[in-house]
Amino acid sequence: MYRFSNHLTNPNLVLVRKQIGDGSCAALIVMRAPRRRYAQLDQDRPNKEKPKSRKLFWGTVGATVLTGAAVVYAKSSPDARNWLESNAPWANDLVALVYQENTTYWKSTVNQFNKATTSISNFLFGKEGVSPLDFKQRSEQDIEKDAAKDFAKKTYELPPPTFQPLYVEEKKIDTPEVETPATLVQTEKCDPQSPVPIKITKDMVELEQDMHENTKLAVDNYKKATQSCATYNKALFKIVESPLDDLDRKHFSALQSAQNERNNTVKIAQEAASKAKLAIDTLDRMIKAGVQAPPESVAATNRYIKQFRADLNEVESAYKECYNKAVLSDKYWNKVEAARMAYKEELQMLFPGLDLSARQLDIRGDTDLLLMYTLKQIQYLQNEIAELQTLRELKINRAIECHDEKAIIEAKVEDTIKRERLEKEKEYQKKSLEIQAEANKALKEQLKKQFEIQQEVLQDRLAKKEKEVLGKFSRSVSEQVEKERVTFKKELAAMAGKLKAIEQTLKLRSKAEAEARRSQSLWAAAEALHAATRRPHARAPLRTEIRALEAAGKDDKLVQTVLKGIPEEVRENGIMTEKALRENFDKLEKTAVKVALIGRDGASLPVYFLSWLQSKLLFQKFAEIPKDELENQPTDFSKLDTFDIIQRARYHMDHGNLANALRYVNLLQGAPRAAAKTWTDAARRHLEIRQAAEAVMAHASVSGLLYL
Amino acid sequence: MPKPDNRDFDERYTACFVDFGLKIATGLLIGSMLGGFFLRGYRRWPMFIGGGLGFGMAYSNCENSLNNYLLAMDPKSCVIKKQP
Repeated sequence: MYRFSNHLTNPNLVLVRKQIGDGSCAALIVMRAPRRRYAQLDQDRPNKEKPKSRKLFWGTVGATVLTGAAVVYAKSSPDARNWLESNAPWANDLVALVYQENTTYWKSTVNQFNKATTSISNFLFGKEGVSPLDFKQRSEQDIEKDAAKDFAKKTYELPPPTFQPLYVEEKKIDTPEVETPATLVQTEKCDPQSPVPIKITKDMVELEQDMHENTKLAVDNYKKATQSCATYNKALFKIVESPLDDLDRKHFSALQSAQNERNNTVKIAQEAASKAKLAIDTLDRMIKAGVQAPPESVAATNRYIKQFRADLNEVESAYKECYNKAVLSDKYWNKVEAARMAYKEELQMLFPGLDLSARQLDIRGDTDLLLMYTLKQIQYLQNEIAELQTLRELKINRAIECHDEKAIIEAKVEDTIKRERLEKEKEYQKKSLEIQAEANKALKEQLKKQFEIQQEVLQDRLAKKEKEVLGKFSRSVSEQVEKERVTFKKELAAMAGKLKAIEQTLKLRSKAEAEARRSQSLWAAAEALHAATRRPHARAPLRTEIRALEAAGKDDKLVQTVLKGIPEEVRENGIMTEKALRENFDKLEKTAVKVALIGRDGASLPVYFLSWLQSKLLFQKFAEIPKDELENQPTDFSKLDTFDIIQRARYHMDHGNLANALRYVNLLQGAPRAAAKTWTDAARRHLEIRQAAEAVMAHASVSGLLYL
Repeated sequence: MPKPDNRDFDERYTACFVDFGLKIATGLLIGSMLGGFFLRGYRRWPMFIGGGLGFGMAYSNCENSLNNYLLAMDPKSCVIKKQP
């Protein structure tokens, strides 16, 4: 048996050893310290008779006196007061109080008392003076100002134009300008030839006139004849001397005409001459026989007669000379002609079919033979010429021997002339051949050049022409193509229009079908979401349902908007089911009434206690919910207090009307509102999801109906 | 930083009661133990001091937690139509 005591220095515990087998185990003896009770009692009494100590009393008095002295001193000296104020803040107040500077004693005491009571009451019962929440009446809201702010003018910008220019200028095809130089053909001017004036003769002394006339005629004709004879000689000479190539019908005809003319004129001339002579003789006879005429005229006539005779003679002799020459030339010509004919015959014999009068020598045979023959002939002819020359010389010499001076000189001169001429002819021939060859070459070259130039010019012209023609052609082709294209496009447009119409109707049809199908899936997804809210669990995760809804309503704007309205928190955590909400509402009910007296900002703890007490006492209100309120008549909801609100909320909750219950719970103020916040949020989300699901279901059924 | 307090109002309310009881009991206990440890004889005033301390702590904790919960709410007010 031990008795415990806490104190270290209180060894009241004494352990006694007891011998076993003593027989005295009936009771344990506990011995205390040698100090006895009496001693303690004795000691206690004398302590009581200590004299009353008055230390406290006198200490208090002294302190009061000191304080009073300090106050008086502070009042009298401002320095001290200031010092006190800066170091002991309440000292100044104390001095002011003691000397009644600001208030009287009574007022200050009353004031203090009031302060104390108010603070205590606030502490115990909460601040009742807190004003209710300030809210603006609807009539006081400035809608106009808000509207003006929202619809403030914004600068309107036109969107950028997206039109392509309708009309594009087509390229113009220019007609190529082909310049063909105009070839001017100018004929040479021919002067009109004046006809030969014709002389007319006349009259009497008719013989005279006749004589004049005939003489004149004769003279003229003789002259003409001489002329024609001369021309004949010239022509003949030309024919003989000119090479074979230049022989023309012209010459021959000239020859022939000249000869004819000569003959004619000679005839006329001879006639005229004879007449003239006759006339002259007659006149002469007459004059000699003596005629009646003035002497001047006679003299004149004589003169004329003389002159005429002389003239006639002269003319006749001239003519004769010429005629002789002609005869000689004829002989010569005949000889030459004969030789030529012989040569021609020989050639014909060698080369049959050869046409010498042709310009180009067309040899159908052996050229070498021809050359050989020609060479031989030339040699022979040259020999002959030489022979004749020598013969001539011989003749000349003989003539010289015959002392015929004039003839000698003439012959010699002729001989030398002939020789010189021969040599000159040879030289000339050679040179002319050379020159001809050169000229031919040059001509060929020039021809070639000219030909080339001509070709070029021709090519150019051709090219230009081609271009022009091509241009015309391409233009016409393009025109045609355009026409065709236009008609084709028209047809194509018509067909395209038809196709589009068909496509459109098909699309509409397929859209309708797709819509119908989609509306079914939408409805199913929304139904699933709705069912999720009625599950038996506490919390319903909605991830799969929302995903299904998203998939079903991909193109639907309403579904998308609804889905957008679902907050993130719901997607992650799901919502509370109805069952859970009901349970939580019970809890909420109790809590809300427990803190009914607490305001928005909290309160001191006695107020909490008071409100808890109130909830315990006021647990059921017996007032009924007025019928008007239940029938949704206009009611002033700001007059309801917490208990009323909770009662109504409970009523609606019991009837399953979660929305109404939420509305009432939303009316709570202050601490009950804060207490109900979690429930309110959960209920709100629940209702949102339910509403979303219902909306989508309605939409799905409507759209399903639309496309039936 | 100490863990933020995410309790519901209800939880805090019940925790208040629990807190009071607990702290008072503990206070009493510790008070009496300390008193017994340092004082001679059985004195009851340390016990009361301890109890008082416990009470005071519980009081302040409870008040703060409840008021903090209320003050941490969003200051969104609800507009009520006054006239019927």
